[in-house]
Amino acid sequence: MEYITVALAKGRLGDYAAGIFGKAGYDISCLEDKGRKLIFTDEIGKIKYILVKASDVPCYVEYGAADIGIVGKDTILEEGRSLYEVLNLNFGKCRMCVCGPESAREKLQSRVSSLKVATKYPNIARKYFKDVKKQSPDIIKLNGSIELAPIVGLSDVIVDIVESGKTLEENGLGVLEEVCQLSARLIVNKVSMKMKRQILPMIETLKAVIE
Amino acid sequence: MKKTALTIEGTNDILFAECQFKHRVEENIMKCFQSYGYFQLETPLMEHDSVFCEAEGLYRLVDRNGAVVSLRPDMTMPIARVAATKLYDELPVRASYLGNVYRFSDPTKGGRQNEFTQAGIELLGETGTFYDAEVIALTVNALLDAGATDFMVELGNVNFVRGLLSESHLSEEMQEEINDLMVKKDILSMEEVLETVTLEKEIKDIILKLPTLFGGKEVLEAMMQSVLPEQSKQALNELYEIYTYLSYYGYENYITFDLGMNKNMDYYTGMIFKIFHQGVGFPVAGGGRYDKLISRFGKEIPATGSAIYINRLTDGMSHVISHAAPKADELLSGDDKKALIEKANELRKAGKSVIVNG
Repeated sequence: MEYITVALAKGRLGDYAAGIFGKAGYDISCLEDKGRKLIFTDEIGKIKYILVKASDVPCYVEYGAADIGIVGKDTILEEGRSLYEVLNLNFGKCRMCVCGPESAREKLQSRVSSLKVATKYPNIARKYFKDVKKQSPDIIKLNGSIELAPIVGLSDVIVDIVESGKTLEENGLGVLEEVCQLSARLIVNKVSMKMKRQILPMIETLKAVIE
Repeated sequence: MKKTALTIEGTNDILFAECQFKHRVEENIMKCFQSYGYFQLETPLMEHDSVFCEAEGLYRLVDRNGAVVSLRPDMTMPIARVAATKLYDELPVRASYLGNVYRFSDPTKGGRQNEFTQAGIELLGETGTFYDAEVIALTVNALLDAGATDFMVELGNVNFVRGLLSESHLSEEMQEEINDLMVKKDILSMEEVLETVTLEKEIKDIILKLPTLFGGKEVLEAMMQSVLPEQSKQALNELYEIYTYLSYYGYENYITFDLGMNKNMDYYTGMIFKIFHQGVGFPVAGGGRYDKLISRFGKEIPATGSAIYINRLTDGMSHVISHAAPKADELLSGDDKKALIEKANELRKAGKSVIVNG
């Protein structure tokens, strides 16, 4: 039997995902003492786990370097790759929102003034403003501390993930509009889904654990 | 001035060992096409932009008169043009082709080819499942002749889903949204979308099942027992006929079905298929029936065809290539130049590859 390769995101999401495999009866002891290794093999269950950066999970799965991946909906939307999205893991629930100071609310609705949007998710932001709001603002791509952008005048608003809203509040910002709901998803390579017989039963097993 | 010495992103040099292997694969495929009476034709690399009107990712050039011309993004459009302008009174026509096509891929995703080789067939002027099966069988046969073994065909019919959705009286936008979600097999979002619309329960249940309706013949047979709109039922009957014909070719073991498969809604009009090869993340071949496409060039000609993506196929078979560069059989040298050349020519006539050092 061939190995199934599972791409897990490094960090909290990946740990949770590994937990789900454990709950579903897969032997995840190989993942316990990680050290600096990036690939872990369960020889009996014929599963290889690889640890990659969250935003790279869809790439590994699209190319078939991994058969299955677990990653946030935000990453899936931003990457826009061709793959199957088969399960909602109901973990890491949060929202993608347009946020900013209360004073930016008016400008956000205006069709005439030029809006600047800072975000880690330029594709999601661009699509939201184009499809929903029929606007084409300047999108400024940042890699972290997005909340800073409206405070120092780099942008009018930001598009970012909101969990509790605490970070926003502490920086004098608030949610102005909701873009979409997010949570962790199970994604599958389109060829693997058809060519590897173990995958469908694996999805069913994982589904049973989640529900 | 130092010149840029790299190939353009998305293009590749293919050197000796790989090139030899690729040509052998192409040669076997083209030979197989010919054995079914599909003879090769060539069309220009560039065409008027309007030939490819709606295609995405076109490479566009401007000619001396300021007219926009495009590099061909596939071979089907040029052959449709040929059919409508030159072959319409000789139908049916069986044609094969081998050539490079050009498409911009999304640069942020990287690692994709913008120039790649397609070998394909088009059967123009015939309707019916017998001919759909011929095109699929020939594609399978060509892959086998090329040396591929570990692959499978995924067969669907656009009219199955179309029948279900048109019965639903949903807006076109909504149908498109459901279709997008189905292609991603995102059952969850489909449930959310379908909750917001009124629909017969039976149809809704089938639509929700669509993403999981793939597998062997049993998937098809089970669905044929359901209550379905006429168009969907007809689509399944067609698939069953195609499967039966393919079993006459001896290829039934390569066939699986995906009833939720539905790409390019306004291009294909009947059966569609993709072929997957072990270890390659994207299909290595694909095709389908496109009875409406040629009408854009002014003639109504039904057609069915397929294309093999040679580069992906050779990627999947790369374990059989030896990466050592091919070597000449003989290396001759000597002071007597006349004798040297004569000896080399003699060996070359006998089929050897010979290098001379003078």
